[in-house]
Amino acid sequence: MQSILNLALLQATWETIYMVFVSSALGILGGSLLGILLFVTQEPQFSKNKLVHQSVGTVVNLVRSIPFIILLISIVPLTRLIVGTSIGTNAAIVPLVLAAIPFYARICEAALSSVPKGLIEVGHAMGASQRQIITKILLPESSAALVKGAALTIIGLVGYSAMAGAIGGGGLGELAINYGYQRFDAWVMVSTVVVLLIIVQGVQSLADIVIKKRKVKLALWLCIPFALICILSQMGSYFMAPKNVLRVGVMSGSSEIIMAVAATEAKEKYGLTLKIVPFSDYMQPNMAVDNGDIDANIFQHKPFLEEQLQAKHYDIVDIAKTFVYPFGFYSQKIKNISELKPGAIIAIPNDPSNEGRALMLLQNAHLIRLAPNVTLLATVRDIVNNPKHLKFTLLDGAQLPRVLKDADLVGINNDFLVPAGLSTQSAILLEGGDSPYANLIVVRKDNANNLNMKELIAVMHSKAVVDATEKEFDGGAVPAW
Amino acid sequence: MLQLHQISKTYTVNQQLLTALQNISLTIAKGDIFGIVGKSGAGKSTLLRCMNLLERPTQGSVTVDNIELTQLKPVALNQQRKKIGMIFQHFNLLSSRTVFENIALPLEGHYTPTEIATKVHNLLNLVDLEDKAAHYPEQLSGGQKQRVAIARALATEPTLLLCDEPTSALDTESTRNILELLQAINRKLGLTIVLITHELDVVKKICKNMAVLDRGLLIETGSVLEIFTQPKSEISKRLIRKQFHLELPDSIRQTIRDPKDKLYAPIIQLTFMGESSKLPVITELIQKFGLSVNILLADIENISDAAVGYLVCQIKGEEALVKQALDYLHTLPINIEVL
Repeated sequence: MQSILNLALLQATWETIYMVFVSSALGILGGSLLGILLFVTQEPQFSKNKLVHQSVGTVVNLVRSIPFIILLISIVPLTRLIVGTSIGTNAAIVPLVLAAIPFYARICEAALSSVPKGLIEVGHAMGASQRQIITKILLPESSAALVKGAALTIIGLVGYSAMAGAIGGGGLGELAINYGYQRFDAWVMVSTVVVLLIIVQGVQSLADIVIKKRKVKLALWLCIPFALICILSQMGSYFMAPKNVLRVGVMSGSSEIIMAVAATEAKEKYGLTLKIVPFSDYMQPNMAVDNGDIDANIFQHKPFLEEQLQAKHYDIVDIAKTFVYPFGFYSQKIKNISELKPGAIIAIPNDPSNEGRALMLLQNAHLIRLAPNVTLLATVRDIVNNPKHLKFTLLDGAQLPRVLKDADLVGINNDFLVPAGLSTQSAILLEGGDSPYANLIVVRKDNANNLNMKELIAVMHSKAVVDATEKEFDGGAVPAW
Repeated sequence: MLQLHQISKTYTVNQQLLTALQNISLTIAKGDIFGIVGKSGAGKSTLLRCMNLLERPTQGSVTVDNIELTQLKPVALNQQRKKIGMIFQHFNLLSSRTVFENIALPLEGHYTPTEIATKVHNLLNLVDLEDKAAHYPEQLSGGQKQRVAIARALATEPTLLLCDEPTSALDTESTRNILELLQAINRKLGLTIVLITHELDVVKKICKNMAVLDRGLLIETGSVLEIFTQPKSEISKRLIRKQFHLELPDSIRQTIRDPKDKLYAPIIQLTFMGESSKLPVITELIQKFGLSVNILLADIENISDAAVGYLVCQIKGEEALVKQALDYLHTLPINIEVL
């Protein structure tokens, strides 16, 4: 286990460096150009143009005011247009660049503005063209500010790259969230933070040295071999890509471990390579199957899929069931449901389908009554009768095990049980085996009868995978086929 | 060499029209060192910047070396600007470049590195800074920085050098050095130099001709000697009196002006120059006209290599006699002024 994580740490470090390097390089390049445009359009000694300056400025401010996670998701079509896919490390680079450009543009504009105006006069007096004044006077004279700003941008992107996990981008941030945060693995958490600290510290020190020794040009030249390494690494994975491959999207965490067993099984039995794409967001996997970025996903139950189909009209279909992970309520304060006091605090998941799932379970235990017409997508607003005056708190799924000390009753998805040291045996309330919430294998409709898909089903139903699942979930997963 | 023809420059600030220069015509001859003086805000800086079109005049034409700059397209103007060097009060060196690289800046792209190295070393030699080639500007003194700036301005072998308050940020010693250097390159290279300054001392030391500017108007032009010895306008007179400390303190004025005294007692300023300094003017005033003379101030200045003597005194006597004496003085080759 530890060695797998070491390898994962190494890979995640590389992914972070790759993502951050490529996106900073492009972001700083684009930002410089935009910054120069902002500068020359406001400077009377150049091409002052209020209209251009203000419109570019507005676009820059607009992009800068979009929260990064929203930017990440909302530019998916653009990302697909540019890199051909909306998931993976390269897909994460597009929003990172888009976030970096306006940020660096402002830094560049400020740096150029701080150059004494007399130096621009010198350039004009020498008969230098605008371009020469910019490249020979303004940029070199503001190089210290530009390098400092570059360090600021790069370090900012290290932080942003942590969110790349939402689109399967990988990197240290994702590792820290999936293993460190969701799975309570302190070793991973600490080591990723240490590696991130080394990267941040390294970037800052490097910038300081470059400024002090006046070696900006040398630093720029050194970026070229690094860029080549990045390109080669991408070409390597492109050419070495095995033929018979299925890309399967799962939630990061326990599922990844089970899928590692499934991948071995698939390779041995069918010569099929399963490429596991971990997601940390429930919206992306279906979108990715629909647009072909991945071939299948295994993370959702029927109610969730139906809700998504209704909302998004995806061309996807479920081809088999895997396991039921019974949803349960857990507590550190009470031993039996009858001990629940009036006004008790109940924490439940905040995503629509799991919220409904939790409320249905409480209704079955006669703790509340829901409006008769609502079904699996009930929300706390559908509660028509709450005799014990229970107070509901809605939280992110991964957050729930952490509030056991604070809430009286906590509804926890099976995914997060084992990492939190819980098992279904200790549940105060648990779904029965007839739950409609069995996990599904979901593929695009035109792929449904593909031979590889049949093999995937067989792999997921194999003894090896069942054993691994039972071990991982400590008996908390029941085969549903 | 340089002709300004009816230059005007107006700005609009907060929707108000400000006139910086008004109808200025000026001709500067080849090889001249031409000084433009005036108080701050007089428009000196704007006028200087009109000469290489860093400021484009609202009206009028600028002609340098028979080429009318005001008619040129940007590319041709840039070409022409290479023949006009410029130095500044605050030197405007590039802090990211060494002394060598600063001087090489205007040459880059036009010459091979070897040619540039030769040229830069010649220039460093000229301004006596060979040992500072690898230094950065921040490691130099003010005077040294201005030398680098001069070398840089000379790199493109200009025929005209514009100097914007070149010594105003320097101490006395460095000021002398820089002025001597400017004089030397004017002699050695036959370079025409135009400089603006608020210090008359600078003009006195190195300029051959000068102009006085006040509130955007050209008040007076002429040779330095002429303006220093026979200023025509009140503004020039005041400037010179201030420069040579010929202003009488008010307390002295009060003391020597006795309202009860019936005699006529004007204060006059006499300016001698060359041969006229041999004239025994005071003796004649006393002996010929029987006046009493009270010498208040006297000074000798070196202006354009000529010794100029200033004398401020009060003469006293019967009004008719004083008037006769003044008429007599006007016939002599000296400049007199009743203060």
